[in-house]
Amino acid sequence: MLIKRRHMLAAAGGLAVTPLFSKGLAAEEAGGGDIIVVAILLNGGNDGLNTVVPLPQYSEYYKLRTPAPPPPGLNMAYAESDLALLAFDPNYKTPPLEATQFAFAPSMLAMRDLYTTGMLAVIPGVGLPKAEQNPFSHYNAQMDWLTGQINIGLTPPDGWLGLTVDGMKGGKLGVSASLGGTSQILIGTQQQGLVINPPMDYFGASYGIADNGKQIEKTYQTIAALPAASGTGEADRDVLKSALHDIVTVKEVAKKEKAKTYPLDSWLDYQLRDIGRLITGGTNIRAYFAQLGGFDTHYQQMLYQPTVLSQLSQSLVNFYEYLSAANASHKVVVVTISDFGRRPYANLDFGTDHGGAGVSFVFGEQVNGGVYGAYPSLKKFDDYGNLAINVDFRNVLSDLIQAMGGNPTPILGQTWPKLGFI
Amino acid sequence: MWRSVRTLLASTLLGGTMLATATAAPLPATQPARAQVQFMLRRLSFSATPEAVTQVQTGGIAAWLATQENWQNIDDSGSELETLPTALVNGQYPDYNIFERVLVQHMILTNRQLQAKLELHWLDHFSVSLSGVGDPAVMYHYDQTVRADALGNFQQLLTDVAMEPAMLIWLDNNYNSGSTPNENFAREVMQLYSTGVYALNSDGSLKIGKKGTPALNYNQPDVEALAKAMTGYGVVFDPNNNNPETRFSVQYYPENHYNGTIKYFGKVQPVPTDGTAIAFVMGQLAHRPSTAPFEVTELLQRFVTETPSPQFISDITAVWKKTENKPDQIAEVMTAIVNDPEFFASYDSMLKQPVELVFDALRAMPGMMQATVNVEPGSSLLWELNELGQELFYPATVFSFYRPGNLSSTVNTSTVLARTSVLANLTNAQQSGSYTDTWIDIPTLLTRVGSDDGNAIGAYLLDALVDGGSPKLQAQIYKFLGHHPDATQISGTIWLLLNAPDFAVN
Repeated sequence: MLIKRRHMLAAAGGLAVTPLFSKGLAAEEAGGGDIIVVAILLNGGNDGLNTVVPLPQYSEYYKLRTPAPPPPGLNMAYAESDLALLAFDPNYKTPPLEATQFAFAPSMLAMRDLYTTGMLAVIPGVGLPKAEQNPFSHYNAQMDWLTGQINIGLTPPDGWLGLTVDGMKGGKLGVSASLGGTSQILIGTQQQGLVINPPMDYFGASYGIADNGKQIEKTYQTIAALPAASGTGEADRDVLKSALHDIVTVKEVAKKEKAKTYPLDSWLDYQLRDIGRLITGGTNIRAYFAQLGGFDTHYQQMLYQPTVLSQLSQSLVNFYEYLSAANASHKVVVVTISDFGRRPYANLDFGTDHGGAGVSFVFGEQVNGGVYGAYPSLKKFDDYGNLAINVDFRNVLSDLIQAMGGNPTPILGQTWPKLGFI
Repeated sequence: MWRSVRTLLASTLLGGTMLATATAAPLPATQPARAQVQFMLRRLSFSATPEAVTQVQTGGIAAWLATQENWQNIDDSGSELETLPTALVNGQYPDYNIFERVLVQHMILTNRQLQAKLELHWLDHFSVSLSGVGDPAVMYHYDQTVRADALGNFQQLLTDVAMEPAMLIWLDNNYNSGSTPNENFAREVMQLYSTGVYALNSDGSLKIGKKGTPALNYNQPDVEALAKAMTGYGVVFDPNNNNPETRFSVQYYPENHYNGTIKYFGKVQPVPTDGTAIAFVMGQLAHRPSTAPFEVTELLQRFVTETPSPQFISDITAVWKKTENKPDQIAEVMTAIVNDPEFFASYDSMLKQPVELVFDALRAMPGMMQATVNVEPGSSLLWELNELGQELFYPATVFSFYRPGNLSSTVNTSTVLARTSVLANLTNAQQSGSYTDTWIDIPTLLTRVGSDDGNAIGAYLLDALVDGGSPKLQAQIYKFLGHHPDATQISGTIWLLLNAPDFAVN
């Protein structure tokens, strides 16, 4: 067993490491390139400025986020005293109360705890490059993040995760799965991924049909055997056949991995719990997709964003604790992606419009904790008055593809230097 | 109150025959092939019974279309099962779901089927979520507006939608004001509701700019300027007004309107300051060069094929432009679409949306509905649509349930399994008064068939659900039914056919 040095240091520093986290310290190194990536889409464009606040630029931050005297509860600028409790430095070993560089939003206490373990990379200036012609469209921006391409035109290309796992050896359920609905990110040339609506215990359950094991299987086989008169029908039947093929395996995993004690406080918890069960259930799925909504905060942002950020943070902790307890955390890397960041200055609805650079998190035992890339200036913005991009989103994807054992160049269309977070 | 879907449809079709002489469209006027009629009724309505198909076959497709386009003349008195509440109880409507239920039931029960199908299209296009607007009365009002304009003029539709309280709330143009306006609506009204992102040629292809990349219809300064142009509107809510039609209203506040020069699309625009700014801007967007091919492509992708040919798009775009000042522009465009050879050539080329799957099943079969009283959770029509991932009025985002041309994305391992479950509920559920609000009624089916012979029932079901079916499918169905099937065998056979890939095809 090789204990990773940075985890040892974190524990030795007396930081807020839960007992379950410490189990992860004994995890083995994942073999080269065999990591499992879980991509979480923060749907709508997360406001990076109110997710990770740059403390040295606090006075600029306060001005930008207080366009008018706000009504109670709507003030978008966090108080410095609240932020101090969640401060962190690029060096994750700096104790929070001594940190002066950044601060997580006050609702992200669980994320701060993750950071102190040295397993969380924070990329605060990440986004779409200037060459993207339509960077403020949800659809275009999301498609960029999901495919690793820019200026996608009318037809989106295949997804970067799907292409990465194309041809990899999977188990009975294949190499990719979404618990957050169909997503372009998993579409490859050879597969498009299993889609399960959580909780997976009900996958294939048919309320109108007697669910007595063999009987339901036989009934489904009868449907799958029905002929199709057209290619369109055949394609539909093939999806059904695939689903029927997967029912037994998913049911076996669901039965074996009950995860009874998993905290289920948000929709993301449901998705990550099932991903955890699929991982510990020995499926050999290499790429997962999940998503969390509520980030398109044009209006009264403070009523919504703190809640979803809290959900994200706690869900990551819950997920890690589950995996760690099953000694399955060493291979798993979670990355958060989002359409774009938001406008630095608030609108008069106490919300923020679509903007530029945002923040991504990469989390896992294989991750080198810390901050990657400079925080964008709050004095000098890009041509549209937004936070300037310091890290091209494709650079983040490149490191992940490489870590999975893939070749990022053909998938992303160009070569990127390593950022080094993994 | 129960209502048979078929009874209502039959009465409409009789009226349709009478109105047929009013048009002279170059469509097969009489005796088109049965499969043509079945296909047309799937695409332009939520399917029909075999008896109704025969009537259209006799009267001609052109006659049906003419009747449907003159929707105001179609009696629709029986299209709502429940009476909407007009008063609040303890500050809330007695049944929050009733507004949604009435609208969904209407799509199935209405005799104005073409209008209902366009209503679904425009609701998808101008996607608004009840979860975002909060009050069901606002959504009800929104749907009434979309429905009334569904076959009318696009500029009128766009303007009316933009001025609806639901849209103002959903995309934050509500109280959009001052020098730092909210850009949400300004961006989406261009990207999703009118021009699209990319500049298009009349055949739907991308215009390429000087740098060799696709040319755009607008840039960020345009979005910001348009947002300023549409400042000053607010939604007024009167908590003491219990009438769902008037509880919310749009108010113009001149003092909140941006008071400066507004430059967009390359020139300074004289935006009115008298409260007509939104109508002014919508009028411009409706006539931007890319709007016609953008809207036409979406219509074709929803009603004909996900991959329309450039010639098809170009031809229909020409009709769109020629009729853009007519009050029945959209109806004329729909006629042109059906007249184009590519329409009937697209037989079997698309899948059904989940709602189409359910609505088609209910209308082609003896679908029965009753007012939802004491329905058990998990047994209502709304619940079934939710299970299928397409509970109307609850789209997750501004993109609605799927983008035109991406229908296949609704089909995944999870949704196909949910489909088998929902269809089982529809076929297994019998009228029990309290179990469900929607079911396929076997006794009524037997009355229609007029026989309990397995072959007669099989032939009827195959005709109703899969245009007769392939010889292989026929053989399986006849074998399953046997000579004298009981009710369980019949409902099992309906379930099998509803799950057949041929029924999933639109």
